[in-house]
Amino acid sequence: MNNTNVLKKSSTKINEKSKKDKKLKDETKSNKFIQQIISPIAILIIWEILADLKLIDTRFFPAPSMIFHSLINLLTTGILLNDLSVSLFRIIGGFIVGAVPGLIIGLTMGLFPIIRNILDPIVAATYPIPKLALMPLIMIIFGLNDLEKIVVIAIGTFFIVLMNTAAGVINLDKIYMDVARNYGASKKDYYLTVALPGALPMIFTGLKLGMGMALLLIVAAEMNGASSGIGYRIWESYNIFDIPAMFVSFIIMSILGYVFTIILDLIEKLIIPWKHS
Amino acid sequence: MKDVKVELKDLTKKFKIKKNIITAFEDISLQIKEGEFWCFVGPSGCGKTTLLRVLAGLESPTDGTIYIKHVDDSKPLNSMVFQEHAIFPWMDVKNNIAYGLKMRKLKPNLIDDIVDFYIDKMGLTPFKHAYPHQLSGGMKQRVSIARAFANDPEILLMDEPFANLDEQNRVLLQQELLKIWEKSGKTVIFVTHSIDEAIFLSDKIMLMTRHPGKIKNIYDINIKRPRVIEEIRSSPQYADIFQDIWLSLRQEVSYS
Repeated sequence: MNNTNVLKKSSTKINEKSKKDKKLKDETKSNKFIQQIISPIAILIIWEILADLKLIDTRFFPAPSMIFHSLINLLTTGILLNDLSVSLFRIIGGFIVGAVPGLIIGLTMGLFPIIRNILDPIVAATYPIPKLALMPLIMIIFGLNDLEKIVVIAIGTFFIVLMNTAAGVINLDKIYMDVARNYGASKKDYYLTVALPGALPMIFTGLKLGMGMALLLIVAAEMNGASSGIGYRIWESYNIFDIPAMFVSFIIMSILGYVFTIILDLIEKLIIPWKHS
Repeated sequence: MKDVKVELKDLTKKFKIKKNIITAFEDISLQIKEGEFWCFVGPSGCGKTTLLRVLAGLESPTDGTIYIKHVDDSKPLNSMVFQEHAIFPWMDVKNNIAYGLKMRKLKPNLIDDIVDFYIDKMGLTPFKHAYPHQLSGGMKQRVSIARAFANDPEILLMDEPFANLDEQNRVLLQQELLKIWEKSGKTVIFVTHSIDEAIFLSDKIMLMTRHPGKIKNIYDINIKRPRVIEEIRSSPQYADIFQDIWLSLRQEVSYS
């Protein structure tokens, strides 16, 4: 009886303590948020003031209010959403077309030294060629259309995912292979229970880098032979000297990169719950 | 008289590193009887871990023969508890312990029963669904030991499983290992560099010479079981054996 009382007491104490901890944590969290939001807001205010006072050239650096105005304009005319959906289709399409074979070939190269030896020279020789250098050739082969843009992005994504996946398998601690062998894992078991899960963190690094590459390439690909898309909009803004619209595109690219990072982080947390946070 | 479980005859392992041939160990001949607990002790680099890996089938011997009596075909010949934290980071405690059983394609509910039994026995119940990065070093090695015992092999091989643990955890785990082993009656080969650990655990100690490892001496440890660490450390018998082995080992260490 006495004992349970003591236990209860101590457990409520622990509860109180964890509540306190949580409060403390929330406070530091909101403090951090305030600290982090200060600099962007300050820059926007200073920028706006400088523009209003004509201390900076608003032809090149339009005031945030002008950019916002342009954003509203592009939104209401539907141009922005159209650009966004066109670019998203190309980015995601190219990403998948590049990442899936990159993953499969990377895994195969990591697992089988023979295949690695055969393919390594080809990868080593083609990887350093800047993907943008290939663009004219890809345009000739595929024409000026969505497919061409998807291919450009796919090639960029492919190499990064391939190399990271292969490295993930190759650099796996040898002791895991010993364990698998000692505990009677077949080759197939080894791939499924050791090589693939063990390489997942590196695979995700590859996917994240691949996504960055896709965002970089989409802009370049859409500057040539496109009639819509964010990259096209940037080029078009240049041609008609609509700098606020150009800034809107920058903002969209920034948000895209941020959202993709969050999505990939989320998927990573779901698939690799065992990774140190 | 107990049956011979493991017999090694003139076992030798040589490596070729670049153009040099390096002998890891040579002419190891010994008989291990059913249910005995053996420790292989020797200076670092004497090839004791390589010897264990050869016994595990992870490396093949250059010369000589290994015989391990396989009584029950449904059981694996050996299971190893590895040196470092060799449990899979991507599996939770339960799946790590179940690994060998899953590879042997046992029925899922049978696997669950066996795994639960060893989770309970090793005091891992609260951590059943935890991932290794959430566990302390001692807990990880408990998982490693549970994985090997759950696999129910003919012989158990242990490669310095407690080397990286702090003193308290080491003593605790040694004691628990003995407890679980005494009930299982398994034949164990345990590699360690600690004389203390070897005396506490084993029936026989094989002391190896410095590189290339040969058998220097084999000691019978006739301390009665069940053993309790505080009793053993204070017994004169322990002091004598320790002295014996240390003097012999010291020669090997000071040569190198």
